[in-house]
Amino acid sequence: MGVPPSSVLERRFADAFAWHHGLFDQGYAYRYYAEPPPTPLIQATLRREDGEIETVNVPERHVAGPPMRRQRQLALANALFSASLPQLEDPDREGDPRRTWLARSFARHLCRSHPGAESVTLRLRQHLIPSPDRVLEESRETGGPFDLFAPSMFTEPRWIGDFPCDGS
Amino acid sequence: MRRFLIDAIVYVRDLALGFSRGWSRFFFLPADPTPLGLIRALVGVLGFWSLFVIGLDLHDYLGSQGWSDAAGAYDAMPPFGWSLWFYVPDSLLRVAWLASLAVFASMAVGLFSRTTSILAWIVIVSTVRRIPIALFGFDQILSTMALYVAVSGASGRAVSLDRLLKRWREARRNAAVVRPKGARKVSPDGPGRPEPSVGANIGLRLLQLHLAFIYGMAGLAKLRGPSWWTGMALWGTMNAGEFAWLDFTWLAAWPMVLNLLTHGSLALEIVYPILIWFRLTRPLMIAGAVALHLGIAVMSPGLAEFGVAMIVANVAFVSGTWLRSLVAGRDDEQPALRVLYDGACPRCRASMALATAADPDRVVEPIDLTAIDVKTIHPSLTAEACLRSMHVVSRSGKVESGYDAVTRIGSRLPLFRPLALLGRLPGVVQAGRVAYNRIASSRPRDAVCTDETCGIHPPVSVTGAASRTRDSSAI
Repeated sequence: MGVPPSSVLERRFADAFAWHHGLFDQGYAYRYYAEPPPTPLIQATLRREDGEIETVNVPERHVAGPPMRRQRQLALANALFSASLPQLEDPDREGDPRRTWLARSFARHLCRSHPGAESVTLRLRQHLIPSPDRVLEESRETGGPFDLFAPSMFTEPRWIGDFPCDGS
Repeated sequence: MRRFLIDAIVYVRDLALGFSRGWSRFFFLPADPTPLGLIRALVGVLGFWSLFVIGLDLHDYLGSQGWSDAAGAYDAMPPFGWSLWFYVPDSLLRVAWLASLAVFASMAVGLFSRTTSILAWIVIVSTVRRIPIALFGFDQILSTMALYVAVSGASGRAVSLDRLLKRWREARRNAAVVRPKGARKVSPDGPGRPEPSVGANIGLRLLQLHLAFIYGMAGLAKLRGPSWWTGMALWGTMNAGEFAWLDFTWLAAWPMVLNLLTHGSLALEIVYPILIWFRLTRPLMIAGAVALHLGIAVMSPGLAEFGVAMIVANVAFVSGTWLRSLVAGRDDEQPALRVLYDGACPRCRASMALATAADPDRVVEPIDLTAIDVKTIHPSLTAEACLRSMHVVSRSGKVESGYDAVTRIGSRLPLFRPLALLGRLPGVVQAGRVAYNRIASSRPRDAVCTDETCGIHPPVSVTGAASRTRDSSAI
């Protein structure tokens, strides 16, 4: 109820139950798919000591195991996107502590899970949803099915931060 | 003016009284715990599955140096938030994970239901708080269901091993008592259908209210999205490349279909919180919700668990009597089987005690053949044949005996249905008949047994007679 957009009254009411929300994991807004959004994806570029560069996508297009495993990785990307949104919308804005913490944590984890990495650069890109008109037009032109994974369906990766693996 | 004031006061008094009565009726009338038991079992399965999948990358998620390092995640918790995972050292993470899986497994089968329901909720909330960055709608629904199942304290009163074991103990205790004319009672004290309880009603009501709120909020929020007004919102969900596994781009040429699906799902979410409370429209709402969530699961396998969780939550609105009738049949179809067993045989009594304990209603009617004239049950029966092997008489008049009778009983009891299906496979049937006849022919009895009274014969001589299936139409 207190999730924006909301009134002062709603927020006050929701605040009164903050203890309940925290203690019992309640208080969600349940505003599922109010407007189907593009899907954020993490692109991590790892630089090794020998100069080699490795790119890791979270999630990769194919993740072994049950689909839920990939779904959790999509949630990771979404969390980083949400935390970085203020910065993405206004690059001059000072980074807030949560964004810094989450991006650093992601970077540290990537460094640890990729031994030999010297630094990691995190970027976010979005997988777009095509409009029906575009699908019809391209299908007419190519005569084949529309490719949802065509390069044009992804936004340019946007920089989140460079993180050295030595923790500095 | 005076009249106006008096009427206003009377109205306010009546309103308060009506509200008070309605509140009590809504929350505190005893309810059939069957739906709650089923929800408990399914929450256990979903919780097990979710944690199992997290366990595939255990240290990435729950380790102190995972995607969200423990210190940062701890600081990011909301006020009053908590998680036991913060206190599990990395070296013990796998052990704690296995223990948590055991909790979910126990919850699913209904063993120590009251305790495991609370523990399962603790594990779920701990996980939610430890890795809020890896969650999606499924986790919210699971957490909510687990909370109300735990709060009710009544989820083990149906569809649980707890209840089965309690009833089995009662049935065996009863079976040990010799009654007039030597007959034995091999069933538990209470009926198969679980006793209604206030706890079950509170749990179900909280789930129902929460579910109506979820649909209502989801529907209202969608009204802010232009694509829900233009009728193209489902295009976006069906053609988000990261979620879709089937190609739905062909729907671009069918905008009316997309409009119909979009408006239909939005309409359902908006009217659900209202129409779900009316008996006549409730099945329509539940069917719509099931179709909606199955559709989501088909469109996006990654969200399949979310769809299943929502369907499970909808069980809160389903009548326990109806749910039970799916496996036990309607009232007028029971007892489906009349079982003639040897009341003088301890093993037979124990078997019947187990069958009656597992009976979801009154599917099986055990009849001690030593205390009756078996011809009153079915004219084709003889005492000798019945003493040789267990006989089952269906409502249709069909008579089965020996191993076939055992699998027939199993097929009518939900707990044993999988075993009964396996037991009817070619090869298993033949082996089962031989094994049954051997066991039946060497079974101990309370009284000294002679060939004349018990019909104990070498297995070869009883095989044909004991396992033969007869149909009343052939008599």
